[in-house]
Parts: sequence; C-alpha cells; structure tokens
Amino acid sequence: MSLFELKGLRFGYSRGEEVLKGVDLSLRRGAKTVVIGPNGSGKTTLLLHLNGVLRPTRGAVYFKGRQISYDRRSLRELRSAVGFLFQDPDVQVFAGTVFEDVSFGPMNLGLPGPEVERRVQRALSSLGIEELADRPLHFLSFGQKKLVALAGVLAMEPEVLVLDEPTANLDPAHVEVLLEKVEELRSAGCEVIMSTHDVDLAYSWADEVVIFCEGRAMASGDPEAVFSSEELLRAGSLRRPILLECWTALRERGLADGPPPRDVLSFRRRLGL
Amino acid sequence: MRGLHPGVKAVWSLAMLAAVFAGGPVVQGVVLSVVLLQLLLLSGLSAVTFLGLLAPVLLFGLLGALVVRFSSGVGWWGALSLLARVSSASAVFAFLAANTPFVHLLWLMGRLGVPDLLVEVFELVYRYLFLLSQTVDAVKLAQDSRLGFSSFSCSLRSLSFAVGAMLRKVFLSLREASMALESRNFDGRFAFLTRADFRAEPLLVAALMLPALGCLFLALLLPQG
Repeated sequence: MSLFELKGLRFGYSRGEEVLKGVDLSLRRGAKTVVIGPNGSGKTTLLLHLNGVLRPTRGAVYFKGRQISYDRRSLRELRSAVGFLFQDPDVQVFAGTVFEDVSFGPMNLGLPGPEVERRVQRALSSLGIEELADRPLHFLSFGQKKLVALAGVLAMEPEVLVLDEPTANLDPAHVEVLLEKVEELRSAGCEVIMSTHDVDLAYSWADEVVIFCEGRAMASGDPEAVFSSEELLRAGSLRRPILLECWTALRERGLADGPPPRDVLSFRRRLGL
Repeated sequence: MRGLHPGVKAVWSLAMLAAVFAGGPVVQGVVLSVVLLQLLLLSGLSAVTFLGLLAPVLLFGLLGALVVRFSSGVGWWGALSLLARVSSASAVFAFLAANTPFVHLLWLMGRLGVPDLLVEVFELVYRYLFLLSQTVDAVKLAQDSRLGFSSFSCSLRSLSFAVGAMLRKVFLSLREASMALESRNFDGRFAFLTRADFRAEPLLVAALMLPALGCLFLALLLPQG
C-alpha cells in the first residue's frame, strides 16, 4: 500500500491560474522521497495537500489507503500524523519565545502540560538547541529559526514529515544538522518526503525522485534512472548531479565501472582515493 | 534582574508610580535617583543605554514643560515640577521595560486575568512588529541600492512603491502564516505552554522593594502641593 496516493489532483489559488494540473502520483512507504523541480513548478502547493492545508479543487488524496476528508476531526487526525516544515521559518514560528512556539503544536493536540513540556524539551535537545528555549524568536539567525520550526513539528511526534525545501538558504553546518536529524527520524520509523531544487542533495539522499514541472509529475523512480535521462532533465530545467556526471565521464574513459556511487565517500572509496 | 518574578517588578513599578504621583518635585527627584541607582547596581544595564532609552521622552517632557511655562500662568517651579514628574514616571516604565522580557509581561497579564484575546493580540503584535520592521528595512535597502532615494522626487516615488509592496507582502504573509498555523492543528485559540521558572531571591527583592517603599513613605511625608 502506498503512503500517499494522489489521483487527478487539480488546484488553483483563488482568482489565479491552475497550479496543479492533474497530478497522478503514488508515494511509496519506507522510501525517502524527493520532489524536485524548478521554482514555481507547484512543489509547495503539492506538498501542502499532503497535510490537508490545501484542498484540491478536483481529484483526491489518499493517505495510507484512505481518502482524506476535510471535516474538522479528520483534518486534526491527518495533521497530527503528517508534520509540515515550511521553507521560510518566519512563516512558521510566531510565538514570543522558542519554548512557547515549540509547545504550540502539542498544546493543540490537547496534551496535558507535563507531556507538552516533555515533548518540547525532547524536541529541542534532539536538535541541540535547548539553550535557545527562552530566547525571543527575533533574536535568532535564519538557521536557528529553521531548527526551531523543525522542533515545533517534531514535538507533535508525526508519523510522516514533509519538508518543503529544507536546505534552502541554510549554511552547510545547519544543513548537516538538519539532514542528520532527518536520518535519525528515518531510523526511528518516521517517513520523510522532501521537496528541493538541489539535484545533488536529491541524488545522494533519495530512494525515489519525482520530477515535478508546470503543475504535473513528469516522472518518478530511482534517482540514477531519473537523473540519467537527458530528456527529463531538460524538460524539468534540471542538471545532472555532479557525482553522476563525474562517474559517467570516468566510465566513458574506462577509469570506472559499475553503478554510480551516491555520495562523495563511496565515490572516493570506489576510485581507491 | 531579567529572571526576577515579573510580579515583584510590577509591584515595584506601582509603588514607584504611586510615589511619583503622590509626592512633589523633591520626591520625584528622589525616585529618579533611586531608579538610576537600582539600575546601575542591580540590573547591569549601563546608564548611557538607559538614558538613551529615556532621551526621546525627556526631550518631549522638556518641550512640554517649556510650552506650559510660556503659554500659561505656570511659573518656573510648576514647569520644573511637570518635567520632574514626566522624567521620573518615564524612568520607572523604562526600568520595567529594560529589565522585563515582554513574554514575562504577557505571562503576568494572563495571570492577572487580562482576557486571552488581548494577550494573544499583544503576543502576535510583538512578534510581527519585528517581521514588519525587517521587511521595511529590506524593501528600503533594495530601493536605496538602485538609487531610490537619490532625489526628493525619487524618494517620494520609492515611498509610494514601498507602501504598495508592503501591502502585498502583508497579504501574502497573512495567507502563509494562516496555512502554517493550520498545519499545526490551530483551532482558533493560541495555546502555548509558558515557562514560569522565575527567580525571587530575597536579597534582590529586598534591594528592589525597600527603596521603593522608602520613596512611597517619603511621598506621604512630602505630598504634592
């Protein structure tokens, strides 16, 4: 059974043109899925449907085999199960202090105070930002705010984490912290779906890549297969990941063989460097 | 001082304000001196920073006192009395503001029974004022980098563009923020868990409250008029 299934999904913002133009897509359980595509292709709009924040004008979204309903109770259940990290943390964090902001989601779940406090502490310490707990949000850097926004989602202990361009505008140190945490969550059984336009990240991280362009899912599959297709890359305004490009060039000159490595460490090891 | 229970600081402020309004210029002068001394000894904030915070209020107070002196029959002593009252009362508020995180004040308001709706509005305004100020700075910088303020007419045109841009941004931000709230199960009420692990060291409380009570006593001895 798929984690999410989208059938004939169409959506347009009020008085605007259609953003999603009939999306048919199945997202596997247990797979690290990346939705990749150029700016303005509709990735964020697509992902917002997974959390029930946006309601399709036509078509349907299925979560674990059940069609999403948009009544209050069903949405509450869905949003408790599917956490969403927005691209811009300033959109997501709004309370006076970090501690208060992270407690917002668990409080909305109706949990008792001690349990909320335990979850907030755990979320903050798991991201190594417990010392920020009492800081007002406007004194934080972009990277810190991003981690606070993630902590706010983690404190709700979702089954699925949807990350909208999580590495955009982040410095390498914060990217590393964020991706490490995502890996930990994956090991603990949390499903992760991410959107990005970073082809190198998608290639090295994902099990499954969905190329999204002009409101449609153009192709999905194994990163190597997807990124090896010149036609798909051109249609999606993407480029080939650097590791794949280098490996292909080395293979053409007889300096390497076998399937291309997915990360720098394996690349070096395979070349005996 | 910032971690001190906000209730203690609120009681201190009320006592000081009562002294300011009950006492004459001498008491007001004493209050101002006490506030400055407590600031230097207890809060660790520099006098320069504090006076910088007070400067606009003092300037308005001075102008007001001069206007009152020359436009009505009040003498120099009356104008000085007005200035002393404005300065000392403002110093009390500035001390409270400089030593109390805003979220502690919100917590206190909640505890004092201020309606949730008002506290939530204050909380949102507090957060979004900073965002608005960041956006204004960014728009201004973007315009300035393209000679948007190179002449008077350019400045006027840039200002009108900035207002339009800000309105658009406010509407977009509103939509995004409401989606972000919904994604975390927002049900119409801003529910937070606020940490209330304030300190109330007896020595600090005594050092703050005893001089305040002294000022209040002095005001009863030397009442206004």
